[in-house]
Amino acid sequence: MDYKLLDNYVSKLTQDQEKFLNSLTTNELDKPVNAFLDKLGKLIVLVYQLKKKDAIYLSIPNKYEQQLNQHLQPYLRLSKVKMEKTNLKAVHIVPEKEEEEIGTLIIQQNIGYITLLENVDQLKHLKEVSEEEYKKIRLENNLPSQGIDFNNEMFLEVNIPEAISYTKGCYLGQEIIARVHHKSKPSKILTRILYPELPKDLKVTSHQEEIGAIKSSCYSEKFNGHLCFAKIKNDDKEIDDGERV
Amino acid sequence: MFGLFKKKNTSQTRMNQEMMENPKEFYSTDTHFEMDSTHRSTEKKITKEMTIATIVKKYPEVVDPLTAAGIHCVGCHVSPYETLEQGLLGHGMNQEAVSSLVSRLNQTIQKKQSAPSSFSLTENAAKKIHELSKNKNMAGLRVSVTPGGCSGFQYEFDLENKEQPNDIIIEQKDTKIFIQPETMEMIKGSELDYSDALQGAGFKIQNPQAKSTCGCGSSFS
Repeated sequence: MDYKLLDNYVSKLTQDQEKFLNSLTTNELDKPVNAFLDKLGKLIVLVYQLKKKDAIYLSIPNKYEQQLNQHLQPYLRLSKVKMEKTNLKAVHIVPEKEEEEIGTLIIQQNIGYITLLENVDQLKHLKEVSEEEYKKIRLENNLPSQGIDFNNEMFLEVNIPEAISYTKGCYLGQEIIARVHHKSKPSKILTRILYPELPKDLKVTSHQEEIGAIKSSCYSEKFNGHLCFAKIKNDDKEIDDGERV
Repeated sequence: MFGLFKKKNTSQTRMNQEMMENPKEFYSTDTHFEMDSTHRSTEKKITKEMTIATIVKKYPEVVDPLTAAGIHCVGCHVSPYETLEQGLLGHGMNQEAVSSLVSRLNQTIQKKQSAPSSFSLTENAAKKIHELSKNKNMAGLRVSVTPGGCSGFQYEFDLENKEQPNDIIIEQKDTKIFIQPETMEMIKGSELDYSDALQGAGFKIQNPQAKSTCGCGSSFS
């Protein structure tokens, strides 16, 4: 069993937390991932979430703390919600086989789970994976990362459908997301591509025409090739030397 | 220290000059500061040195708290000549009770907001609020802005039984509207209407501060 200490902080929301988050995030609150958008549907920050009886915990990338605080400021003033930064650490546990879970605040992931721990000493017997190794885990398990593979683009371009509910009701940015989803499609999209050899200049081409760029990549024995996240034009054109996976 | 002294003197000189040049205006701004609808004045409006008649004329809403405190001389012929302090001491109150009552009166007038330019309502809205309040035996309508909707903010309307701390109370057309200061900042200048059309029936707010609204019109930014 390996782990990766995420560069995230954990916020705890209480008092009217469900109403507050429902009105400002894309997904239902019992799902593991959620997103704050601006009114144009652009991503502010993607978060991991855990709903408990009296509180909701959000694991938020440190890099986006200021941006999120600035975004939420006018809404926090009008709401009774209490949002406080905790001492909890977000740790992604990647078990090799079925093992007993560590901690009590668990957020399930495509692979393993994220546990929110006060004390990471209990992970001493485990091995922390390096950045490179973690990138490989992310790519093999289709876990793009904000700040690496995407930033603040229109959320449908980020292509994380499991972070959006189309039935939950209105939220900030919903109008654009619903309209593009139902009536059109995003012009660009983050896609996972498998290459036998990485293209020169990390540019993705179709019939020798550039259609996008690679954001992160690694060699995967499991996929027998170079896996990468790339932001490309959203059409069905064939990719030179590579295939969507 | 010297700078502070100098500044105080300059300020005092300016005040004296203003007072000499236009005594009427000087005194009127000193004793009559209107409270902005979105900001509470921290300065006292009612002082114990004011006469009871002046206070009642200017702030009729204090009649209830005065009579509740046992001061029934609001209409008394002596009230134009007697200060509030004299009246209260004359009714057996001590200085501590006087200060406490003055503070309560100031709280009362701060809560009362009859500023039609800040928030107004149409006849239809007033009629509907009146009808709903009467049917449900409630005091009035609470208007709130909360996070929500596609554009970020949405209006909420609830019947309200009693005021909450810091409430701004709009009393117009025989109805009461309760608004929290944070909400008032966002709806200042708005008009509340009620439509009973077949489509889109309900309370509507025309908010000049709203830069945009979502497609269905229920939220704004």
